[in-house]
Amino acid sequence: MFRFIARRLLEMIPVMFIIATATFFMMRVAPGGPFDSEKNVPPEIKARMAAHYGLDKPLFEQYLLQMKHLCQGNLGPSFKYPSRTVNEIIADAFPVSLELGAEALVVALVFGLAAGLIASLKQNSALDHVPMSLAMIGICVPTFVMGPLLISAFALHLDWFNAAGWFFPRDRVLPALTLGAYYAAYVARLTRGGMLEILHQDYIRTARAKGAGGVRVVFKHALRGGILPVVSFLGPAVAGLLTGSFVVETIFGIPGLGRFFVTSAFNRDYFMVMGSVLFYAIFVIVLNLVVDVVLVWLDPKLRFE
Amino acid sequence: MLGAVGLAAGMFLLTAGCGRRETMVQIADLEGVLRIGNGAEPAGLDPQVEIGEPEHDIMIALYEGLVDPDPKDGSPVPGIAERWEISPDGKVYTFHLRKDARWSNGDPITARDFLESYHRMLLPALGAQYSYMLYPVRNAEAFNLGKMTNFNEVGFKAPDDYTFEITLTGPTPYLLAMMVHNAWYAVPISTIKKYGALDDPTNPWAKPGHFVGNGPFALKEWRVNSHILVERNPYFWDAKKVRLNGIYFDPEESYDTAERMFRSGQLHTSLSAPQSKVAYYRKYKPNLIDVYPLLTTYYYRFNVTKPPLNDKRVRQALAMSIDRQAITETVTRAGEFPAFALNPPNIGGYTPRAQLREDLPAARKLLAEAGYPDGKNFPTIELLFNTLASHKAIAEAIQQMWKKNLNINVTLHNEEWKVYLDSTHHLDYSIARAAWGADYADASSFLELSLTGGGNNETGWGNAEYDRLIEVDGKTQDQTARYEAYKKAEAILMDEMPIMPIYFYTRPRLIVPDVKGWYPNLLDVHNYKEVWLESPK
Repeated sequence: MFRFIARRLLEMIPVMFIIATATFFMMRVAPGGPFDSEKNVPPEIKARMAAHYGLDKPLFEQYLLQMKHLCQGNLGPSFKYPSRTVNEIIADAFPVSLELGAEALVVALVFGLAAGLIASLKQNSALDHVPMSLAMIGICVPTFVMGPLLISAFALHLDWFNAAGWFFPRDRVLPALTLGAYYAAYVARLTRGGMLEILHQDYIRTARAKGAGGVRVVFKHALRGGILPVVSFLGPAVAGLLTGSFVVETIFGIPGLGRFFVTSAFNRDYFMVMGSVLFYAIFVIVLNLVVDVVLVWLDPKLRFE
Repeated sequence: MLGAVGLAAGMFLLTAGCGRRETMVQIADLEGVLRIGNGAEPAGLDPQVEIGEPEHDIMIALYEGLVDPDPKDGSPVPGIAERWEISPDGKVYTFHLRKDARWSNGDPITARDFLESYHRMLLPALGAQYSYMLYPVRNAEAFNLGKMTNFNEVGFKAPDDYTFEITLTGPTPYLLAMMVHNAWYAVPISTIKKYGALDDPTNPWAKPGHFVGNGPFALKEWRVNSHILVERNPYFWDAKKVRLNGIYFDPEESYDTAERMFRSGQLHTSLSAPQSKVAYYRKYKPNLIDVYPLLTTYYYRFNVTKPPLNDKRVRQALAMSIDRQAITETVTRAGEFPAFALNPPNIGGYTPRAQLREDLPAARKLLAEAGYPDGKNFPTIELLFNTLASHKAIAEAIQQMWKKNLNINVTLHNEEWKVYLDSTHHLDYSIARAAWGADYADASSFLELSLTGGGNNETGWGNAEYDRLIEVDGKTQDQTARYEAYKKAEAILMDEMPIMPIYFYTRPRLIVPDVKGWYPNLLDVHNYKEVWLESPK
C-alpha cells in the first residue's frame, strides 16, 4: 500500500509539469493581455507595467523564471489585484470554497444515501419511484435555476435566510443545498443501483439464511459493497464541488476561489490562472488518490490488483 | 429532490428557530452604517494605481483632493485647498491649503504631501494608467514617459507648507473638473515607503492595518469578494459634518444577486438594477429606483481604413438608417436617451450643435451615390461586439434595421472581452461596438477620443482641422470661444461619421428612501461626507 501511494505521488510530478507548461503557453497564445482595457494607456506606460512583472522578457525566459518560482512555491503577484499575491488570494478564498464544498458534500451524502437505500429496499414501490423521479429532476435542474428558486422561496418570500452573503451559519444552508442537490441526486441513483446488485448476491442470501436481521444484512453485509460505485464517484464529485462552485458563488455572493479561477482567465491574470489551475490540479490528483485508497480498503478484491 | 430541499430547510429552521426578523438595513439605519452594493471587488485602494469605477466609489470615502466633488452635481468645490487663484493667462493655479487638514494617523497635510504624491504618480516605473490626467501640467508628460528626469522642471511647486502651485503647459479650463478625479488625490508617502518601494504598484500599503488616508472615512476591514468596511475618520478636518458612522461596501458583481440582496433588506443601494427589472421597478416600485443620465455614450466604431466603410457616404447612410428610439424603448429599456451626437446634452453648459438626422430616403440616396443602389453589390460586413447578451440584442436589432432599410447584410461576431479589445486595437474589424465614459465632466473628455492617432480612437480616422479645433482653439480660457470650437469639431465628427452614436447611458440605481443627501449626477459621484440615514417612521 505504501509503495502504491508513493508511486502515485511521484507520478504527480510529471503531471504537474505538463499542466504548468500547457497552462503557461495556452495563456500566452490567447489574444489580449493583462493590461488591455477599454481606455487605452500610452504604450510607454503599458510597457513599464509589463516590465514590472517581467513580461518584457523573451517568452521562454519567462517560462523558465515562472517554473523556478513555482518550484519555490511562489505563485507571484496578481495583475488584477496588484497589492495581493496569488498565494494570499488562494489562502483567503480557498477555505471558503472548501467549506461550501464540504457542506454540499454532506447534503449530497445524507440525502443521496438515504434516498438510494430506501429506494433499493422498497424496489418498485412509491418509496422507490418518488425519490428516484425527484433525483432525475435534481440532475436535470441546473444550479443557476435551483439557486434563484430557493432564494425566491426561502429568502425573499419566507424571509428565513439572507438572499446572499457568507456571514452567519444560516448563510450556508441555501448554497449548500443548491450545490449539493445535483450530487445528492446522483448519489441516490448510484446507491440504489449498487445496492440492488448486491442485495441479489448469494452471500446476502446466505446471511439471511443464517438468520441475520434486516438491519444487520443491509448495514453490515450489503452496504460496504453497495456503495462502491458511490465512492468511485466521490473523487470526481468532490473535485466538481470544489472547482464547479463558480455559479453558486456568484448567485450567493460567496467569497470563494471558484470566482477567481474563472475570472482570472478573462482578466488574463497570468499568475492567478497558473496558481489556481495548479492548486486545483494538485487537489484533484490527491483526491483521486484518496478515493483509490478507500476503494481498496472497502473492496478486498482490489488488493490483489 | 425539491421535497428533500424543502425538508432540509424546514429542519434547519426548527433548530435555528427563526422567523421574520429585522433586516440588515434596519439594523444599519440604527448604527448609522450605509450599505452599498458596489458592483465589483476593488482591484486595490491605491488612488494612483487604480482606474476603475468600483475603486473610485470606495476611494472617495477614504481620500480628499485639493478640490472635492460637490455632493449635488460633482463639480469642484474646496477640499484640502480652502481657496485658489488662477493667473489671468490661465496657466498658473495657486492653491491655499487649510491648516487643520490631517491624515488619518494624525499627521498634518502639507503642500509637500501633494508635491511628493504627484511625483510618485508620474514616476515612470509605477506605470500609473491614469497618469495622463496630470499631463496638462508643464513637463508632466515628459517626466512620466522618462524623457526628463528632473522633477524640479515639472510644473508642481510647494513654496511653503500651505501653498501649492501648479503651472500648466497651456490654459486648461477644465483642470479643476479633472482634479476631482482620484488621480489627483494625495497619498501618504511615508507610509508607502514603510511597506515597499514608492514606484512599486504591488506595494501593499493600502490595506487594513497599514492604510493611511485623508478622507472622511478610514479603512477598517477588507475581506476580498466579501466586503469592505470604512469607519469615520476622527482626524478629518470636517469630521463634525460627517453624519454616517461607517460605510459597508459589498462587492457583488452580479446585478441579479445584488438586486436580491437589495430586496431582502441587505443593501441600502445597489449600483444598478438588472436590465430586465428596470421597467418593473419604475412601474411598481418607483420609490426604490432612481434612473438618471450618465456621461457615457454607447456607439459603434467604423473602421475607415477598409472598404466600403472608407466612404463617408456609406458611414452616413448607416448612421441615418437606424431607429434609436426603438432601440432604447424596446431593446435596452432602462430609460436610456437616443444619441444623435457624441456628447450628451448640457455638460457644463455645452450642447453639441450638429445633431445626426435619422432620414431613410437620404440614407438610401447616399448609399446609391456610393455605388450601392438599394444595397446592390454591398459586401457583407461584420459587426463585432464583446460577448454580452445586451450587446447582442442591440446588434441584432441594428442588423435587422440595416437589412430592412438599406437592404444590406451584416453578420454578427462576438468575442470575449480581451480578444475584442485586441481586435479593435489592431483595427481588425469593420464595425465594432464601443462605449466611452467621461473621466471628468467636460466635453473635452469625449472629443479628445477622436484625435488623430489617439490611443482610444481605434477607427483609423483623423482630421487636421478637428485636431486643431480641439487642441488649439479649444484651449482658451474663454468658455464661449472654447465651446464654439468644440461645436465646430463635433460637427466635423458628425459629418465624417467615424463613429455612430446610439444612446446615452442611464444609471438605474436601486436605493431605499432611508438614504438622505444622496443626489443623482452625471458622473455618479457621491460625496459620502454629507449623506445620512433616516429610518422610515
